[in-house]
Amino acid sequence: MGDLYTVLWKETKEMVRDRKTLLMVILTPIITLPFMGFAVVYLPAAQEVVVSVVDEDLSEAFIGNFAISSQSISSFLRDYLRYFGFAVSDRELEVAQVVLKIPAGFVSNLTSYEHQASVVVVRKLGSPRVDQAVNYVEMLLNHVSKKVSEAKVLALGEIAGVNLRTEAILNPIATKTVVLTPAGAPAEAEESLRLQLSRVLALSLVFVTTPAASYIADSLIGEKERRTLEKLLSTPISRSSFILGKSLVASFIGLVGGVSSVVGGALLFAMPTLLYSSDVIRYVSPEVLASLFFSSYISILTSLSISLPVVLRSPSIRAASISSASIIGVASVVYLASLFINLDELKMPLAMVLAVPYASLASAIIRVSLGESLRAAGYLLYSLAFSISLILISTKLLDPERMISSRP
Amino acid sequence: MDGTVVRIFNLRKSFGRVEALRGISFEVARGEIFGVVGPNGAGKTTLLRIVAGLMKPSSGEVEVLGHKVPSEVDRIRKYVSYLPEEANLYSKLSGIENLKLYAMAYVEREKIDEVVRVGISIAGLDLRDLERRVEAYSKGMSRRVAVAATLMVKPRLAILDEPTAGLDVVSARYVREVIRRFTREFGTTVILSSHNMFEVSRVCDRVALIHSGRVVAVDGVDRILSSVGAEDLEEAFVKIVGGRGG
Repeated sequence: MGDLYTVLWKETKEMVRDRKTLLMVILTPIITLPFMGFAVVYLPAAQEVVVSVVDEDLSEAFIGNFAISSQSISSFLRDYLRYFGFAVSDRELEVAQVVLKIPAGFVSNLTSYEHQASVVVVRKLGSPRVDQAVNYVEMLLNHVSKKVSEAKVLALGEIAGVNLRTEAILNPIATKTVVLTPAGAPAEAEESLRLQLSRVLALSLVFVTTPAASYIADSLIGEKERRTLEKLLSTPISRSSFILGKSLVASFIGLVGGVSSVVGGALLFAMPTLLYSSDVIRYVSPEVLASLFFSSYISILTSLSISLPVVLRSPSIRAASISSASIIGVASVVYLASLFINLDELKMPLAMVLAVPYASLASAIIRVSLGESLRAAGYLLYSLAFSISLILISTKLLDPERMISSRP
Repeated sequence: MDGTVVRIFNLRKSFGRVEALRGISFEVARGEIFGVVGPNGAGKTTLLRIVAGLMKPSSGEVEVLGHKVPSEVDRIRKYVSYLPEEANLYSKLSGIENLKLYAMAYVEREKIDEVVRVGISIAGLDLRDLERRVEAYSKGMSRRVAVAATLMVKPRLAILDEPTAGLDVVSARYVREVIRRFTREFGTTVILSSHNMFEVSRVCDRVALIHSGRVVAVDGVDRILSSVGAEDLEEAFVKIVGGRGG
């Protein structure tokens, strides 16, 4: 009977009956990806940060006909900070992580043509959410500052009897940024968002890479540990059928992992939709999900193809495990890097990183989101060819003596 | 090919500085049950692994069924069945599925059922037990199925490494009986290793006593006993190796 069929028959039966491993492969992306979305989108907002906006001025003044009061400014700040999810107080509380004081004389200086008004923002070192609160405070104060400047310009114009346009004084250079896709088509803001989301999806490949490397290491080394390897290697089953059979079944794990990734990816973007009624999920196109599926599958194939020769030539079981962990580490670094940079736009010699299939796979997802499907297909095909070649080379590397003599 | 199934001449095997086999030579005739006897660490398993084509000799010659090992090992795999020491079955598969796996490895599709039936009769276990997953088996049950998987394909040469190691008296006795009965019935030549001198005396036609990687005697059990004036193989072994260093 066909050698390959025999190995496939055995491996499939063992894999299907190893429910825990299968469940891990299926559930890991489905649980971790939405949790990642939850952690990134929801958790920071759920952390309570107290901001005190204290008005010590309590005064009002005019710029021309434009009335400005410290109460209206502090109310404006408090209302928006509450809107952004912070706990706001009008008193200086001990628990406050951010304290904004509007000092006495603030409005007087603000409405003056000779002095600059100032506020003091005191922040306690803490979490990124505290930094975020300070950023919002500065943004809101900039808004107030701009409105006051406009009022002053108009008032000065009136005094001088000159018809002024505030933008011409305050912002004499108007900048308009036109965003295009790499193909040159006008891009909407949603394209930019889609690109960001695709980077997160590329990072999610980390979660499907791990089970594959572990599975193939266990599939080969585990046979030795379970004392089944020696007898199987002594049968007429060829070495290549032995390796190919195991790889094919492990790649089935890849298919399952790929589907789970797609489901997990969809759930990841469903989180903001569910939590905030945001419509972010509509930016995840079927093409991006398809690229995620193929990238996941090939990422798993890549992991097992790189693991194979390492595991087969490892002097010991421990060395094989460490080598597999290193491969997972490399994959994680590459996928993390793709969150910040386009790996396929680096200059030589850094451009060599694209030879690592993980870099190509991450780039494929990003390219699809940019509408460059052909380029993405090239990356996918390269990674697939790399993996298959390495698996075929590995069939020649199996040395039974080394395998059965390796130390636990 | 003449009546010799295994021919080994001046076989040496080293692992780094450690010399496991130091010039082993013997022949095994067709239909013979040949015992390789020696204490732990004598080199029995290494010798059997080389004959099974799983290890390469450092030097010397090994021929199995007229073919050189390991260079021509792929031509004889179909006719050689090997049971490693403490070999386990696939625990997620049933006993019958384990038998089927090895049947698939050795015979054509149309003969698989027939071979599995032979395996079932060799294992001598209840069919309901054989349909259960092996993870629920005792060591004795597992060994019975493993021995059955090795012999059911009616190999020309069966290589059995410590086939009764770790088994209780009843299971060990059953395995010994199975080896004798079915190898005779199938005309299989057997190389069997053991450190159990009693077992070898009961099962084997001829034995090679191995000590520290060297063959110290090769002959029929009775002839070895009479040559050194011993009552059993254990005493003979001690008398022969008594004056030798390791």
